[in-house]
Amino acid sequence: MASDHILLEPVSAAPQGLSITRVIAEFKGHPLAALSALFFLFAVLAAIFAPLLATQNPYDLATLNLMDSRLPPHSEGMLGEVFRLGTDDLGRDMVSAILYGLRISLMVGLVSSLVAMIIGTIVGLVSGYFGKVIDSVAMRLVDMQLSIPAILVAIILLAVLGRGVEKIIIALVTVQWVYFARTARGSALVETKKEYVQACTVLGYSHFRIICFHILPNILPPLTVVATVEFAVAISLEATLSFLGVGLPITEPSLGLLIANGFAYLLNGEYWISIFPGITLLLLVFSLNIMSDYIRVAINPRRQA
Amino acid sequence: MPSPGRCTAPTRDAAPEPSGSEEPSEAFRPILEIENLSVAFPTNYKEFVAVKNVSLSIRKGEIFGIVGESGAGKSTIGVAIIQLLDYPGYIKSGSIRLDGEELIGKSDAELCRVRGRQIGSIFQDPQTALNPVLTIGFQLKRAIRLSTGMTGAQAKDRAIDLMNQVGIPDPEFRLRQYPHQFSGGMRQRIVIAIALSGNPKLVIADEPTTALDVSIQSEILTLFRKLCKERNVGVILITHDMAVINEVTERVAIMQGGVVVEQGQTEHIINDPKAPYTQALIRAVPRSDVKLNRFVLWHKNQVENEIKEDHRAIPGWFNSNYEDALPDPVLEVKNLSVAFQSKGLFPGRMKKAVKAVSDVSFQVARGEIFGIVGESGSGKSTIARVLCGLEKPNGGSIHYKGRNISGLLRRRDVRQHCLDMQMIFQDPFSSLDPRQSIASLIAEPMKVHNLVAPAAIPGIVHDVLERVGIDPGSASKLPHQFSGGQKQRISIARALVTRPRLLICDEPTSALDVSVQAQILNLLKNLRDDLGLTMIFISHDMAVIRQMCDRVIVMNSGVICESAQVDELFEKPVHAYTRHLLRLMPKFSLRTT
Amino acid sequence: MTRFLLHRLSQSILVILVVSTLIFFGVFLIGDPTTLLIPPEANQATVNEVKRSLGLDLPMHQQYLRFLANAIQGDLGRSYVFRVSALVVIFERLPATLELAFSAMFIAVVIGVPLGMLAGCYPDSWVDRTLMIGSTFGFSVPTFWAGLLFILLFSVNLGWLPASGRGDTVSVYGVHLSLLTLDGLTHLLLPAFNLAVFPLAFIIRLTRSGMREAIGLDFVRFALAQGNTRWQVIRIYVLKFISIPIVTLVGMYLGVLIAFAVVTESVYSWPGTGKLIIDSINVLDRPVIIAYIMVTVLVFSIINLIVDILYSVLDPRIRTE
Repeated sequence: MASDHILLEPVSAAPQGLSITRVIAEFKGHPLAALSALFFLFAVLAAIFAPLLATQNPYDLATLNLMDSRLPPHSEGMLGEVFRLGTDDLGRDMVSAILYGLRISLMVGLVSSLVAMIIGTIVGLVSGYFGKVIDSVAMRLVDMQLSIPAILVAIILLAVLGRGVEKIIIALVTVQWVYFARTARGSALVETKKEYVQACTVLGYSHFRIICFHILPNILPPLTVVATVEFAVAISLEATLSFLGVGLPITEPSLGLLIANGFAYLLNGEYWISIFPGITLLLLVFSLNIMSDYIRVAINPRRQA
Repeated sequence: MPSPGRCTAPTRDAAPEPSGSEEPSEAFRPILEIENLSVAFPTNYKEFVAVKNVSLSIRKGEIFGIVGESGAGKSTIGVAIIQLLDYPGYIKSGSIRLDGEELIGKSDAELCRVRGRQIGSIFQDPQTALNPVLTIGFQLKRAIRLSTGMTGAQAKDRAIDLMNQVGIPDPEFRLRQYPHQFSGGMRQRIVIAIALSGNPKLVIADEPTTALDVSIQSEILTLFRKLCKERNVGVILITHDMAVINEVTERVAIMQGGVVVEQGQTEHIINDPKAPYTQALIRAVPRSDVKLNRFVLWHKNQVENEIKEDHRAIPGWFNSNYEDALPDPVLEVKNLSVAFQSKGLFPGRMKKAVKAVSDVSFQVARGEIFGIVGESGSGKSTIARVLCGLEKPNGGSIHYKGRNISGLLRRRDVRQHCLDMQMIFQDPFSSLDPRQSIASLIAEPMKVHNLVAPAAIPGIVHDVLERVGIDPGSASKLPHQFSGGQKQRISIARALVTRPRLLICDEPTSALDVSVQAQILNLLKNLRDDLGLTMIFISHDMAVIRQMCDRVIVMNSGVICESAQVDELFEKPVHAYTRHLLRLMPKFSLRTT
Repeated sequence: MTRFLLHRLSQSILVILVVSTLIFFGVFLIGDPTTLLIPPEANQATVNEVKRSLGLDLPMHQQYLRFLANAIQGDLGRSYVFRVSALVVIFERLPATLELAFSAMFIAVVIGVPLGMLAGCYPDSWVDRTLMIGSTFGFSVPTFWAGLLFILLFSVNLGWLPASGRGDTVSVYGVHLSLLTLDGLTHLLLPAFNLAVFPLAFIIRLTRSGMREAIGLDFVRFALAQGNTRWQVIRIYVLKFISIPIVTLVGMYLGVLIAFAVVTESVYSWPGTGKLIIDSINVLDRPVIIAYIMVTVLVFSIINLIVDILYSVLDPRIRTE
């Protein structure tokens, strides 16, 4: 009833035409959307090629020099290299730290939202298509989980599982799958009632065929919007959890952990340790959210000219 | 995009003579004069002109009809008069004078004083026109306050008075209720009360009865007409339904593609139309007095995506199935019962069993078009759904081609046996998968069931498209690029590729314009003749049933009231309900002069 | 109606039971708290003594049954750290968290609803676009980072507001509130605004989309056709229509805020239950962890229940069915 996902405004799939063409047109027409997409692409590429782009490997403690610690931006290090964004308390070059942090943040966010999407979509599709008992049971489960705040679920799980990349992914997947399931179920319900699905039944197609080839392609647009939002949420949530101390371990610093690390130094005026990873995180999440906004607008059927 | 119509608007009443009355010219003073009105909607590509140079004049106290099919621009005129066009529409040129006063150019504040007070409005769907979270009393009293300035007890008295006039019993109690607690017909009465609350000079009624059940339509129209005549209100009645025009209006304008094609006295226009479009429109309306072989169609210029139906395009593959001997009767239904469990709003509430179909028996003979007629909720669609396997019956048996199919439980078995029983659905906008090209949609059944070698599929798709009148060159387009009528043709093509022997048509033309309906109905009859199809035709429209069917059953609340040959049913109805339906059917009979 | 209430109540109880079971057994997996409470060189006898005093020497299922029996009576065990009833520990700190959450929601609603309505009334105007991008920005900023920035700006640079802690409190019916003192307010301001950023962005969007959708509905056009001005239509017809879903969703979000306050409490060292849970997880104070989760789930369920009831009362379509 009133317990729908709070961050989502209603998203409806376009009844006419291919959404992908409309999304592309929408992005072409709005510079902010195009800019966000470009930035996101740039961030992904930077993360993939981090080992090549970073001047040092922030995990390799041997390459770090404690004498270089907490140097402000544009300072010179012991070996003559210039630290464009300064160094942190361990002497890590901020640029390299951010690149590697970006890598982890993106990877965790991507994997968890992808897995959550797969699980949630399957549950929601099956639930919405077959209805009756399957639907009742599945939605009862979803409602039960939704009656606990997401952040609490994550904290509890991580308290039990401990720290580590796989564990945080498990926690994030557990938190996120319900939103995908809800959306998929809602859309699947709507599509199942439409006459083309009934025609498929009359034409003798198997349930599998109808679900995979007819219903699934038609519910992908709203799911895509949810996916981009949840991707952003995953990145943000992981950062928050790391900040709280229950997320990733210090050996695999995501952007969130870098920010948390630099918190103490903020009040000393050594802002760069916390601020630069913070700006990166902010821009990353912001660009994802902007993209999801424009995708949502593009697929909305009422926006037909 | 509708094809461009004629630009001249021949008026048929050059001499302002009243038909049979001796009233002075005061009665014929126009209350509304529209001169050369043009309304345009700018889009990204170009400007779409919805209304082109329309000139009309409505006299005080007369009911003037504007009739046309979808896209004709008739609703746009109604909205333009009160200047509530949807953004980005705007009035490009022309003048609109209400009782001599020019409306175009007035400020928004001045227009607010005109709306409601001098011009009342009635929209199509009363369910959405009324605010669901405010009481009827509140909304009615507010309207009264806006149009007359009355407040408090005075307004309440007037509200009760209005409710009585529109025929709502127990008004004092009802004023405290909400819209969802009224039936559709009652809601429209309330809307009428709101529109007439300030005794306006003009009322614009846009499709006032379209969203209502057939049995209610007549009542509402009668009430509306009575109230308007009492108040000597000028009425613009916008509709697509020629029968409504015939019954209620005195003068009418026929619109097509934003242009007034013809206007004049209703009687003259209907019985002696001069413009080709009007003639075609009238001929396309299904007649209830005699069954015609085919509808006489108007041949338009080349329409995008369409070609003339090719009767020769029946390749050998299609015919091969139809050569098998088919038992007669093709379908035998005995004592069919279907009951639904209505889900309570809250789980745990006792579920009510609703009997949708009770003990229904009938037979469908080989090669005939068997009709099932009834109002909504009569169970006719449920029967169709059970036959196709979409619903499960609770009792009775169904024998198709001599074999009992009701006993089969596994869905796959049922479908295999019934693959040659196909269905055409009602809503063209949701009956095709929006993401598939129509070529792929039509090819799919053949692929899934391995009906034919893959190499032969494109050829068959090509042929079947030609047969239903769709240009095979548009086969790679997506459904949204086709019009409603074209989509129905595509649905028919999809049903044909499984080589059905029995075609069930569930209200296939209810959502289509009258001229398009005529084309589709002709197509269905042609297919029946060419392929030897047997059909079950379901509709709520008695006139369409008369035109299409050979034998008919009349259903009411899940039970068969009467079963007869079509001519017998219409001329000598036996059951009271059949007579009731025939009485309520909007009469559109052409007087032979 | 009562059937519905009973059903929702039973569902809530089921959730609490399931969650408590999961937590109880899950917490077992975290580790043995005795190792944290006694020095490593203590001999086995001391270890056994501590274990026995905490009830940890019994087999697992017996511990669980004991736990359930106690829970029904309202005893969720004693905190290993504070040595008093875990529930007491939680309820001591709960007012602070509730104060924070309610203040944040208040700020978000008071600022967000009018702004959202403005954006909805003038779609695609510069106001609308700015608000949309602004609200997207609002929920893109991680709350903890915004908190850091607030501290940097308002405490360190400008020196207007204190950076951490809760101010002086006044006791109202036994509950300590800091809202009512000036010192309390200055301490409350930064964390409340920090926590408010997220719901503010959400409420702006919600109100805006509700407004936009409502304006496209038929009853708006009908109301205009009766002679209402645009403003009258919004004030009289649209407002009531959109307030129902907004009120219910805002109510639900309040529950989320209470949990999400964890973050703000960590940044500002606000002495609420959020800070408590993080600390407890770090020291494996099991009774407190369990008690916290159960109390939060209970509070959340109660809020959801109230919201559902509110919805069915406010919406006449459901109220009069």
